[in-house]
Amino acid sequence: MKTFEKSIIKDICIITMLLYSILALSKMDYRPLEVGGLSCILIISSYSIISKFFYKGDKFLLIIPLFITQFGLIMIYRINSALAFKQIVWFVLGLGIYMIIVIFLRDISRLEKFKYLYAIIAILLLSSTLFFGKEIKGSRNWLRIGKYSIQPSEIAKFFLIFYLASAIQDVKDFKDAVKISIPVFICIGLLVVEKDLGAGLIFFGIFITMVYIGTSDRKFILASLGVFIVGSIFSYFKFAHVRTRFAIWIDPWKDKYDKGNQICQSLLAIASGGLFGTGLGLGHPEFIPEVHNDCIFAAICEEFGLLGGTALILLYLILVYRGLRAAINAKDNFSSLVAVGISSMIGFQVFVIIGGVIKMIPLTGVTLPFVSYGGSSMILNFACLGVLQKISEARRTVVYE
Amino acid sequence: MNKDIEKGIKRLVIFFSICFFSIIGYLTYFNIFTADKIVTDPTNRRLAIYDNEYIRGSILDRNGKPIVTSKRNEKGTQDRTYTNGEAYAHVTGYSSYKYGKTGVELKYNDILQGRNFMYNVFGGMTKNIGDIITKKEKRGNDVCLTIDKATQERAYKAMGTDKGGVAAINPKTGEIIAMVSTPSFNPQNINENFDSLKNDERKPFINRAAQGYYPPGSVFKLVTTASFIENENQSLDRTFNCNGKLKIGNYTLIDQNNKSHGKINLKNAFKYSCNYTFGSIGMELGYDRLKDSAEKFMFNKDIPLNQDYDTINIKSGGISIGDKNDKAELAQNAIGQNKVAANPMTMALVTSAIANNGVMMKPYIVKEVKNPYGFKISETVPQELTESISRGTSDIIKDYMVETVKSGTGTNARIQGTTVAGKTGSAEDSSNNQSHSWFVAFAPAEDPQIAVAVIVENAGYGGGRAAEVARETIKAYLNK
Repeated sequence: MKTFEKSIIKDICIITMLLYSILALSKMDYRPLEVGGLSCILIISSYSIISKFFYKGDKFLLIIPLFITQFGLIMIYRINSALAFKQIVWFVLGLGIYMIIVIFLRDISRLEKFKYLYAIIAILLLSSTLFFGKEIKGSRNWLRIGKYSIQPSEIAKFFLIFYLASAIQDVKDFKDAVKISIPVFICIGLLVVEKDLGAGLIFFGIFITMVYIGTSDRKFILASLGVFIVGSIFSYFKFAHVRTRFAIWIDPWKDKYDKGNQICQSLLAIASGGLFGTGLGLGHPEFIPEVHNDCIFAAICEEFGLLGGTALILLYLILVYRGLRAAINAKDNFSSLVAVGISSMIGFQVFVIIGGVIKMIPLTGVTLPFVSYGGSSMILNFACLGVLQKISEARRTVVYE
Repeated sequence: MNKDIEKGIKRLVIFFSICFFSIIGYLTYFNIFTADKIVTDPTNRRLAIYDNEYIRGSILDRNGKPIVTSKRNEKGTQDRTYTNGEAYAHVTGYSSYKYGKTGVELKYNDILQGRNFMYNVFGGMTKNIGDIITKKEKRGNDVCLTIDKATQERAYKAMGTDKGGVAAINPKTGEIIAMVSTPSFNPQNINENFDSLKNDERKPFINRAAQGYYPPGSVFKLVTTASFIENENQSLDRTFNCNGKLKIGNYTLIDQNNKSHGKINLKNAFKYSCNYTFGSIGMELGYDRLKDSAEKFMFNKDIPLNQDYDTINIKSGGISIGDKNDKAELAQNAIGQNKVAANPMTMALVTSAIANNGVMMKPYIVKEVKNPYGFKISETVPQELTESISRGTSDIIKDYMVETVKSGTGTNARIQGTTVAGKTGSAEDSSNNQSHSWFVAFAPAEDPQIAVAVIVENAGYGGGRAAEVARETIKAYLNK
């Protein structure tokens, strides 16, 4: 098993170095090679630490995200090298937090007792932007601290998962269910008001899956779906920005120079890529607005083609699968629910943003985990991975070997 | 941990698999079915970049004289020059990144951009490798039209400020020698003028020569005459008794200026365009026979072009009737009014069929495509479209048409040293007092080289303005 993992790590390093070499050649610059070398060192060392000291856990929960992150880093370097250097800092910080969680968090079930605290933190984080927030790119979901902007909704997700995991187990009847969902719906309401529809959608997805897994009762699913539909119809008629998003989704070409521009440019990029893509460095991601962030998948499809895009989606699917596998093997219900929450968060986030970029569903601005540029998202995702790693480590029985 | 949670999580794995595979499925569907349709959208700035790698090919006339050319400028982009652009606007079309492309620029875009793989293997490929070594600038292919530069420009000039259209065809091959529509626009500065042109009441974007839908008036008598000769086994010496007014029930068909022609045979009726005679002929023939003859001349039928990409859309002529047994309607159809419609292109085809012994050739406007090294990539071979009338009938009508120009209504189209065959038409326009001036002709009558049809909107009698334009067009082509 270990040699298999090692050969995968070796392959990832080779691919990473190859791609950075292409970048170095196309930009006629040696710096991509330095970045590549540094990345490989980070990959190898973090894998070594985990496999040496925490060998009971599922190493693929680290290996896959490392590969995805490298893929994203290369894309960001290709789009804007200045951003890539910042992103490396976030990547290192994320790995650091990951290590701290893995090393110092002894028993995850101890976290169970703070349930209402989590809810309060989540609501405070989300409402903070209403008072201190800055409106960036049409959404009031950014908080400025000194030089940095952070996205509280990313962090709130983390607390929401913990809140739900601890609260759901108390659900005995329908009344309890309503009681525990109140904070969740407050959060979603806040997100809709702040025009952060994508995060709202993901919150809802996490909520509904965790309630379903925690209670195994279809009644709750139907009830929350009902609330969701009523809420969506209400917000469609109440908020102009919801209507705009919907209209753009139906026909982006009608307003292709203005509001539909982002989605149209994404589609054009994907269409220009074809099956094999133009090749790294030969596409034109600079035509897509927000390409380093929301629309990075379109740039990947343009340069790596349908095949590259599909490969990335499959990597995410494997990651979600490994996360859910950790949930099945977790030692108690709380850990299991946290693992379900984190896996479904990644799953929904990938579905919402990729589905949006390819116009399968309305485009809402959320980040593509591990790939999009952004500190909040990178650090939070690695923190989640740390928790997942911990859960996979403390499983009841060792399944393989 | 209870079994329910495990079952639920397994369902969740299936759920996410479905989600992700549906994304992959949609992405694949998008790449196969939608991608090709959207990449040409004007908001795709990649097109400009790809296009700029090659110098766009030229559009040339039938003798290789340049009509549209491209040149690299100092900024590294390209300038496309439309020499005398207004005269060719409806033939070449325009090419704009903002407003898209039309005409040859649109339909032959890939060829002009060099995006085709139809290499002349032995000639092109070796030169191509040579170019890569010498780093010579890459060029697209050239499109040679059947248009004759001198004829096209003279026809455009002859139209002056009038509205209308001219179509000239080589009757033996179907080559379109000239296609002019006025008012026109200059493709050169389409980006600056697009909005004002689009809102212009005179509608300069409409190709009146091929897309117009006018009553043909007396030029339709060509068809009525053909129908009479082919259907009625009567002596052509039969005389009609024209009193200037053909009374049909409550309706009276009058001749120009209420003129009465008296006793008149078919030849003279044609020569002087006698409405009484042709009205009577129409009533005798009946709607079905008249319609059949018109359809043999491609009325009511799609007219395909003899080339790979349809750079012009020919709106075919139309004939129909409200009530088959209504004699008044019949008589009006027979003189090209009521529910009969045509445009210069369809009338030029009718004329070319008569000039070409009854055989109509498939029209085309792209003669050949040449790669940058001058090798022919493709060449259009003339094709028959249909046999409209018998050779005997065409000879008779030819003779009538020659008489018309020699001493009938079309004397204005006479050219020194050349026998011109023609027919005038003045089509009533319900929205204007002045009728549309029509003229169709071919020349030289003994060995037809060019067939022309002209309409000048609201310019009065066909023997006037339209005959003048037709004469100038023919003269330009025959170098007279």
